[in-house]
Amino acid sequence: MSITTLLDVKRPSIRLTGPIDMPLCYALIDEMKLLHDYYQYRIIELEIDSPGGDGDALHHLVQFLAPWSRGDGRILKTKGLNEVCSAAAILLSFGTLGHRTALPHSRLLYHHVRRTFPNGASQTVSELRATGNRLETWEKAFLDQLITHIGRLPGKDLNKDAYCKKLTRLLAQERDIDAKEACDLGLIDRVVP
Amino acid sequence: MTNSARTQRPFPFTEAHPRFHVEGWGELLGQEELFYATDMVRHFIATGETGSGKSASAVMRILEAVLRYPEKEPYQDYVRVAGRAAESKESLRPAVLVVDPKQELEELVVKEAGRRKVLRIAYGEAGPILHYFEGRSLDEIDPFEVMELILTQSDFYVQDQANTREPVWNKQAGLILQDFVAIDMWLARQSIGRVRELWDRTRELLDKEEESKSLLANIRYDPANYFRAMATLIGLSATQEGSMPLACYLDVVQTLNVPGELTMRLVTLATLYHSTRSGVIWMANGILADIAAEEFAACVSLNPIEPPPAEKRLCVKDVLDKGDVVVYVPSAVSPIADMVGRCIKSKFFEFAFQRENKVRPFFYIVDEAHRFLTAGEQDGEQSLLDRCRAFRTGVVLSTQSIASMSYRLESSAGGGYNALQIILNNCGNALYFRTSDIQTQNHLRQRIPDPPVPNRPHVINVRPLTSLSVGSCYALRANGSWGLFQVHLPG
Repeated sequence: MSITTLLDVKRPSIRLTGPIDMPLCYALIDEMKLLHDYYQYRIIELEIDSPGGDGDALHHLVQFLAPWSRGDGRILKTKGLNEVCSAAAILLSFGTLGHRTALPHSRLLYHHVRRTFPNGASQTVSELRATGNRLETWEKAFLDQLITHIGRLPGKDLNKDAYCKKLTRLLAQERDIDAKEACDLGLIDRVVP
Repeated sequence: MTNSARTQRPFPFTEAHPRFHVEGWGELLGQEELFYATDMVRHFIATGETGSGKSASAVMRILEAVLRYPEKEPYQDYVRVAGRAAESKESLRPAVLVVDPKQELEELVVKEAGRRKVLRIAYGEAGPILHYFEGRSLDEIDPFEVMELILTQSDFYVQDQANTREPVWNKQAGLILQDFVAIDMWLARQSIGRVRELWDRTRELLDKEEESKSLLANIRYDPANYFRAMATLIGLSATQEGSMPLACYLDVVQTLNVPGELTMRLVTLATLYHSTRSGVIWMANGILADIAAEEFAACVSLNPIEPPPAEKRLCVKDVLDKGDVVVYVPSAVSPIADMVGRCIKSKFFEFAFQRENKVRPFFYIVDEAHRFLTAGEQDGEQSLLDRCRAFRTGVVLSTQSIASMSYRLESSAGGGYNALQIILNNCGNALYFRTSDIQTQNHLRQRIPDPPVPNRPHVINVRPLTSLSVGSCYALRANGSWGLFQVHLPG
């Protein structure tokens, strides 16, 4: 089970572990809907410890999380626990502004979007080309949305072009960063003990 | 069609009517904070312990919305839809009865009343007095009906009827009082002077007895406290020689040529053996202790013979016609004060159903509602709430807990579990603030559906009523929706 929920009186927390794929994406969406619509929570904490996963699942999740990211009468507190890589790292950054945190020892990896296939799946050249195009589109979309999202931080006068270049460089480097560096880059808001 | 049938015809709100603006309820109602008039008259119940924010977040917000109704923009929207058929703004301004035991609402009433008249009823103040038989002349009522109406408001009588194993004593006491009233009414139809004569001559006869002199001043016809003379006479009749005061009274009655059928039961009572007579006398004493109390008479006149003077009288019909506001401020904890509240309520509802002009809405807003609940066939909330919404009449009940309502209703004749359920079912809008009352919690658990996913706990088990912060409440609305929301107080 890669989603565990703790129902607290005031604030529930969902712990997401393991790879992010479509089944997990739907399970997380259902859980958040249940907590918001039935249990009437307006603040949810999402703890993430994941090696990342499928761009397709991330794309779907980011669309669903849009009102949470914007903080429309609700707050999604994201918290990086240990390994927060790839799709998981992007997910962490899409928490409500001011509520994105990570543990000091957590390692975060922001890199290019990838697509995982079921075991033994094969693709033709044209399919691979289409997949490549789709990945590029998604990556651009993620970057645009992330920059717009972070740009909403009050008091942060963001130079979007410069920031985009900085992030693109980070994606290409394929290196782990710690919570403090992520904080300096604006990808999270705070390092918490 | 008879006049009565015409006046009883309902005249409900429609969805086109101007909506009510409830400030601070954005989380529940959406950004515009507007409430359909049709939903407003499906009544409210707000429960929560002291300090849960129930008054400031619910009762005061609704009261404010009612007093400001109809507000400019919703009214303009209504006129756009209704065109020439639109009812005037003035005619839609509600009449309001506020029962305010904690004196938290009156300041708001005064602030928002605008051009309305605000009438304050409180013991110890020279406020208006409710005439319990308003609209009924001496010729239109009979003594049986008079006592029936009065006894339904007497806690002593109602509780004894509901709980005792031998209600016959209580019933007899009621009949004895009815005979006293019948004699007075028979004499009053000739002239009020004859009633005065009856009681004055009884006093003079009793004056010859040394023992009871200090009490005799009360034996006189007092229009302001009609039952005091009777209470004194009955009080004097409780002793071993108690048949003597009754005999004096009956002697005078005989000289005034009162028909024998009116005095028959009193004659029998006077001739009964002491231990039997005292059973009835003590019951009558109990009933009269309530209705002849100074506190009661200062606010409600039970005089069936003549109403209080016009300048002192609360005219319920006028209040409903003109859209005025009546604030009743009962003393802290007093069963008499509760009785006064119930009498005022019952009179307002009687007129709300019978008034000619039913365009003007009427709202009854009551804090500490459990003190003023009744379960009577006509004036009990379980009977009123269902009917009155069709007469543009809305009720707002604010109470500590459902357990306190249950406790009050259990002691009422015809009350108990079913009456409570009917009241709760008829309050389409329910607001549950913080409370540790198990009964309230269980009730809410039944009203909110189970989780849509199997094997998950109910929301009330996860977020119990004890965990709510000030101003936060579970809200169940007349349109079927529910939620947990926080009221944001204006300013």
